[in-house]
Amino acid sequence: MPVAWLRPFWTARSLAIVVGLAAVPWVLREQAYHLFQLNTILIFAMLALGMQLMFGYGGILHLGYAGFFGLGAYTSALLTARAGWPFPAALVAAMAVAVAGAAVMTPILRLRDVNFALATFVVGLMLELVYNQWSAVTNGPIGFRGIPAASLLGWTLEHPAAYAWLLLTALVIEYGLIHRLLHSPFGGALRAMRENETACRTSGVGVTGIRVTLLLFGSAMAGAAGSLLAHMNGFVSPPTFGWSTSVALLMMVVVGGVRSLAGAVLGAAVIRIMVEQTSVLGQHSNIVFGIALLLCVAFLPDGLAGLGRQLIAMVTVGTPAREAS
Amino acid sequence: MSELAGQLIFSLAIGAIYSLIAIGFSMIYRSTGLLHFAHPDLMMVGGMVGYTLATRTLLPMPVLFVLAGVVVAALSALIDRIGLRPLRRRAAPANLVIATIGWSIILVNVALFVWGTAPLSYPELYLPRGTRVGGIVLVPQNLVMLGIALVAMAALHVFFGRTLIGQAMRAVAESPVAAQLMGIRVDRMMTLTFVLSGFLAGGAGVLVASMVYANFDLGLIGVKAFAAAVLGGFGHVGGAMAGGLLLGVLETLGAYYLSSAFKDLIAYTLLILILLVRPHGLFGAGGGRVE
Repeated sequence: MPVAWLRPFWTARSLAIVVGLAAVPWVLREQAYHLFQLNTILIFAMLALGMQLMFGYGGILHLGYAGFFGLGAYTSALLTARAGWPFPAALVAAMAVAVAGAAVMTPILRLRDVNFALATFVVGLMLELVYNQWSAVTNGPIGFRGIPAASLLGWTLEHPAAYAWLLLTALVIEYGLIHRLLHSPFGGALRAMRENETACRTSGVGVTGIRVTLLLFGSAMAGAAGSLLAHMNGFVSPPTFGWSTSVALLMMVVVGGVRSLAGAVLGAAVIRIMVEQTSVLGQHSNIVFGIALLLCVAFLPDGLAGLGRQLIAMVTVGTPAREAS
Repeated sequence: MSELAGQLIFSLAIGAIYSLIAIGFSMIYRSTGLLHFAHPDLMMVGGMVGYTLATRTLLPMPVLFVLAGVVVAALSALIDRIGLRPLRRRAAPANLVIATIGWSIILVNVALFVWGTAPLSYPELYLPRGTRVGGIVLVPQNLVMLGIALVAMAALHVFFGRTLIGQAMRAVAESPVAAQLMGIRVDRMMTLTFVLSGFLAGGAGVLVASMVYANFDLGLIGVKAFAAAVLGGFGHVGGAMAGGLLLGVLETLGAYYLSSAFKDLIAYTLLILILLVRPHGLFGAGGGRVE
């Protein structure tokens, strides 16, 4: 076990993947539509990672997660467009506000199972209601326009390819942080909590503390993703932060594979592309999406990550694929 | 004052509809451990089927309630049979929730395909119209709705309390393993749970759709039914009934005395507080923590 804590994040393989990903925006630099898709996927991958950490690893089924994504987006939008804050400060503030919002709801963590899920669901509804109804601040259902493009160190990231690199950096940082967290003593406690909560409590591991940490960490990530979304589109509106987005995030985690970080990123890409493709085909083809979801649940119990692991195991016989948990 | 009396009757009618949906939620959760996210969409399908029947036949409301209920009950059983039961053995509970979301997407899009996007209004004779009786504005349709819902709830009460099948269903909800050991056919009882909850949802759909409109997004009202189920203590049929009625009254009073834009915010805040103080619901057994 002690060795597992030190499992490094920067291996040759992960480095190759990051370099490969970094090349993608450059390849697509002329294709605005594809870059837009890529950037959206990257933002959803950040959210899916947060959801994976809370739900996959911590068993916290947060059905109002998209509301916190909205807190970050609106905070950043207001601070830059109305108060003239620079982008980096607004990004930090967005994370802080999302964390503060989550801190207010920590008493809910006392609830278990279905009650907890329903309470978070209600919190999500409340946030969406505020975004819709508090028109003086959020501009209501019409949406908030005129959010300035992000600028970093005097460099305006107006080109979507430049923005893609910013998002990629953010995603890699988040991935690295979560990886680090899971391979620290905290990760060990997390695993113990999942295996047997009562035993965990009796041996002095603070279960509530773990759950609070996961919730706050996840919310900070949602806040950052919200801020990045706001400055990408220059526009935010309430439906993005509602129930359907929370559901989409849950789908990304389950389709990608529960308890797999790479799976969450993969799930985000697959679900986003599927949503995009089915909407191109026309309204009714969403039925295909629903059926695909059912088939995925029926035949891929460990999601795409599980499928990937099986394939790798088939190719490299004898070396069982290990997955961090 | 007289206006408030009319509002109260309306709120009870709405609350009774929440109850019908909430009972289905609770029943399914109790016997299968499943949060059935497609349940509100079954209600929506009921409203749509009711619309088609209403425009073609102009049958009286209680008959529509039963017919739409039967259609949706069959649909609900079908969904369980082909889409949920095969998964129950091999998939984790979280994955099953995703499967119900998949069904929700399918139902909404099938409804879009069959009935289109425009909100459909029921024929004139079903629409709520007020008549003044001794200074109080009464809407007969609201009373009919309330009556139907109350009869359905009373029938459920007798069914669960007095009949053998009803008691078998309760036993499955209490403990599937023990029920099976007592010789109850658990799978059959679970199917029956889906049939019964589908019937209630379909009937409730007719009531809701005749009051507002029939449209593919009608399932959103089911969100309130979730809340009602929580209010009454999730998994208790009696609690879900009372929770629905209470929520209907609360939100109508909230809109009447406070702001109508933020009325839901008041109801939601109350819900979370109730969950924290009484996790078993207002009418559940005992307060304190749930472990």
